[in-house]
Amino acid sequence: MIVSLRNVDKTFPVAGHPFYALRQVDLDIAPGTLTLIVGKSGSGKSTLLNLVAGLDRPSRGEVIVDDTQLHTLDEDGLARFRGRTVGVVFQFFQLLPTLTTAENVMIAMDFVGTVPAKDRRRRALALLDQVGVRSEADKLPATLSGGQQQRAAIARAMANDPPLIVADEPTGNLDSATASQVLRLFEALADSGKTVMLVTHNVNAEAGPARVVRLDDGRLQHPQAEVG
Amino acid sequence: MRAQLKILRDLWVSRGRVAFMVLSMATGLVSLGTVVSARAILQREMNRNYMETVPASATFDIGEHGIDERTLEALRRQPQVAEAVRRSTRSARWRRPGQAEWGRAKLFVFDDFANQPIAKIKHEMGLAVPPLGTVLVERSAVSVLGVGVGQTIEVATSNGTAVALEIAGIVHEPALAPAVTEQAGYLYASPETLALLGESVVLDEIRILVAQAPLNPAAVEAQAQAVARWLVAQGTDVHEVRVPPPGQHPHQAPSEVVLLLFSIFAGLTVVLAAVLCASLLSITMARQAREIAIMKTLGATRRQIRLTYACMLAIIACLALGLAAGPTRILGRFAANNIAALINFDIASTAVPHWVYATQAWVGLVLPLLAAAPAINGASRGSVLASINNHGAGAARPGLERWISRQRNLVRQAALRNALRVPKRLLLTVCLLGVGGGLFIGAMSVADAWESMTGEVLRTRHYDIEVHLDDPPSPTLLAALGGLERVEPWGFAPVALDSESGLPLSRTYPDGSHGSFTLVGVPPDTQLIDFKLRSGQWLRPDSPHGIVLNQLAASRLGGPPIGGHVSLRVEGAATEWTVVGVVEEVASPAAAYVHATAFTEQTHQPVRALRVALGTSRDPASTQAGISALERTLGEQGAHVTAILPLQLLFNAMGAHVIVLVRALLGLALLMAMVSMLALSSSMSTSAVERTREFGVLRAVGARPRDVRRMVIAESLFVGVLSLPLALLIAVPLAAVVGYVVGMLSFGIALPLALSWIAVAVWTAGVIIVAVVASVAPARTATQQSVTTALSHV
Repeated sequence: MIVSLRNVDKTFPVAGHPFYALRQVDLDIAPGTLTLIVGKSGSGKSTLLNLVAGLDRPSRGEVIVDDTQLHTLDEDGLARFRGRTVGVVFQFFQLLPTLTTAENVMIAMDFVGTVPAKDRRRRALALLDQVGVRSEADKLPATLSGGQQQRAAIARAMANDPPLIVADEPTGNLDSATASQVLRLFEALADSGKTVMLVTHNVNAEAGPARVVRLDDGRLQHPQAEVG
Repeated sequence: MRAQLKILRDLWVSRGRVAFMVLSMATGLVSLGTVVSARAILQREMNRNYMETVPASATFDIGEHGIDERTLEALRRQPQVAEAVRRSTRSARWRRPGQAEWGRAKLFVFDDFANQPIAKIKHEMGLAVPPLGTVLVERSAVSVLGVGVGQTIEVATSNGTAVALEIAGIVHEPALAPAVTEQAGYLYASPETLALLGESVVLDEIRILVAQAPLNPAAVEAQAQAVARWLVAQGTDVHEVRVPPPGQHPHQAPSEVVLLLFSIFAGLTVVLAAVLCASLLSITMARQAREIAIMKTLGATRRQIRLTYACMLAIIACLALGLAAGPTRILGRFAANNIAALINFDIASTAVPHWVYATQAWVGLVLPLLAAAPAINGASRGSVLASINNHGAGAARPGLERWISRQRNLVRQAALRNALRVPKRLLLTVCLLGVGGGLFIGAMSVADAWESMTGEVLRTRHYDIEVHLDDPPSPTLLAALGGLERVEPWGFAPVALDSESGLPLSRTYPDGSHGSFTLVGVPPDTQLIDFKLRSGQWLRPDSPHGIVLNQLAASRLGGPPIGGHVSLRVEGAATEWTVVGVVEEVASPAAAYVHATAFTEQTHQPVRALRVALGTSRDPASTQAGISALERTLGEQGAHVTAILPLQLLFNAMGAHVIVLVRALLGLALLMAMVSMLALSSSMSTSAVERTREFGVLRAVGARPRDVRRMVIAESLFVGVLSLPLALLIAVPLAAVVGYVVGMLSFGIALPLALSWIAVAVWTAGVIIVAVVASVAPARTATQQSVTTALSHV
């Protein structure tokens, strides 16, 4: 398994008491699969994704990704883990506004340093080509449409060739046609051997052969359900 | 790296804020660089000027018999003596032909102008050797005398009548205080010209340069005492041995004090600027919290984030250093030249040592980084999720919220909430403003206290004129002066302390005033002075051998206790006294007060001076009229006047010393104010720009542009007013501490602590104006946009 969660709780203090965002979650994700994490607003989907991406730590239990026990890493260890192992795609794209599209992809390679400096632009352009925004490489994000920005964000997530891609509501800010195109990209990534985890609140909108993990009030429901 | 590219573009995007940071840092660096470079130039040049004169290591007062040529030659052969010359310093008076009033003069007599191996004067214009019937003038005295080379002045000593002497040339003596500040004419003449004035031609001073270690105080003193003993063995009277601090210009110590004060304030200005820079960076980082989080998500480590923002600050620091370089160079030289003119020495080179630039660069780079370190560290450590979800604003504390809710005016409520929405920024702005205000008000208060100290000269002295006579005033003379408000006979005599050799030793410089110590004989019922008692009591009839020391005399004598005994040498006579009190006396060298009768008994010197209260107003015209009338009476009574010293002269001399320094301090205060105002305006404008969207919402629900502006102004005023108590809280102890240090070093008395209410008023007005202007401009821009444009603002 590339992702394993064992008896994971995540609590937040609310009015002096712990609020359970996740409760006793056990989950395994196989390599090269596309997994949809679905549920109502506040069900704990994003919290689960954040734990897998190393953006947050569990209150209890173990999170293991690609043989790395995330709960044992310090902040810099988590940063290195994110850079090499996970590509993160946000709902609001989160491209750095003062860098061009290509530079946004290259900065991820700069931080990690696994791609030689002389190859970085070439790789960035190849990734942008792969997601269909090669022509926008030297433009600032503000001049791009939402769909183009999200494609650029996917290219950036792929910058260091991570085995795991996680995306939090990646189509939530896009029109339905563009959303479908973006989803096809994630399917293609899974087909190419990447493990992809998508958070969405509407399972019907996310077509394709995917495993669906449903959360309800922080608890996992029907863990083995599949669509498509 | 792309991170560095991002920084450069971020800097360009936030160029308004960056300009604030660069400008504030540059202002701080200019103030620091100016003071440090001026200090470096002055220290080097003062030393060079003074040492070029080959100052005498010691001066021997050998009285009216002098020494002959043969003894002088023998003295030059003594192992302790490298060089020896004969000189004399006489008190005299001068006036322009046809002018009624006399001015004070010092007449320096050289036996050989052509050969000056030590204690040299530098020839500048006209003749270098004054022929019979002529004098040379020290260049700083030209403006006092109002005459130049080839013109004539009348000179009189107490022994002779007025003689017209031509100005033969102009010289420069860097060891003398400028004539303007001492309000004296400095003249140089030969013994033959002295004879024309009816004076004895005997040169009563010997100045020597010691042969061994001329800059070592102990070695100089030991050699001077050995020479004094040798002179006594040759039958020469040695009334006093004067050994001033070797290699130290008479103005070196006071200059150090002033430059220390300026350095303190300049240092505080640059610290303030660095903190402002850091706070603006933290605002930038707070706005970029989400971007920082994204970089972390992409794998950036804490070190990489820290390095990125340290690099951003380093670029700003370099820009500030570049901007500060030119003004620092110009102002440093300007300050050095002005202070040099004030102290009467030449600056041969205004070259600034490389270490000054290195210091400025170090401070400019390191200080902002140190100040910003907590913010940079905090941002690099923050949780990714918290940063991504950061919206900047928070709610006020419950207690504050209740207080805000009680405000009836909704505009005021909104303004208060807005001011409190980013508490860290509010705290930083208020702190910066408070500290800046504290420094500004503190500096202005010190300047005020300094000026007020000048006023003490007149407040504690109730006479207008001091008259020095050649003979004791006769009862007839005193009766003739009976029409004046009050006339008291006073005695003055120079004091030396017993040394190991048994010879009297003093620290007086060759000009006779710097480092001097005077014994003053006072009438028992004097009403002409009113010095503040520091300890003990004033002279009483039941303690005829009591002595009251001023603070400098007490310090010179090692702080003897009340009731303690002190021995003083006066004109060769040993005198014994019991300390009864210590007073604080402004603008006077070391002085000790005794009963006039005891003065005469113990020193064998008659009382030969008068202190006169005219009973008129103390303006210069009335004083001058009083002096003219007094001179007429003295002339009619046949009194020989050595000197007439109006008190106004002392007041003016001190004022001239202080005014330039006070102005310089005010200049520094203004720089500090500028840095703080930059902090306020940047914070206010940032806050207003950030809320463009909010203004759009307000207008969408019906607020008029005027309502929005009122809200912003109310918020700005709230911040400004909040900083005032802090400013006062800082200003008072700062003024007290700096006033104590400066006062003790300058006068031996702490400066009075008085808050400058003018500074408080100026500061308050400045804060209000800047706050309003800084916030209204962006608010106006925001309200001039269409509502939809404002709503789309990120």
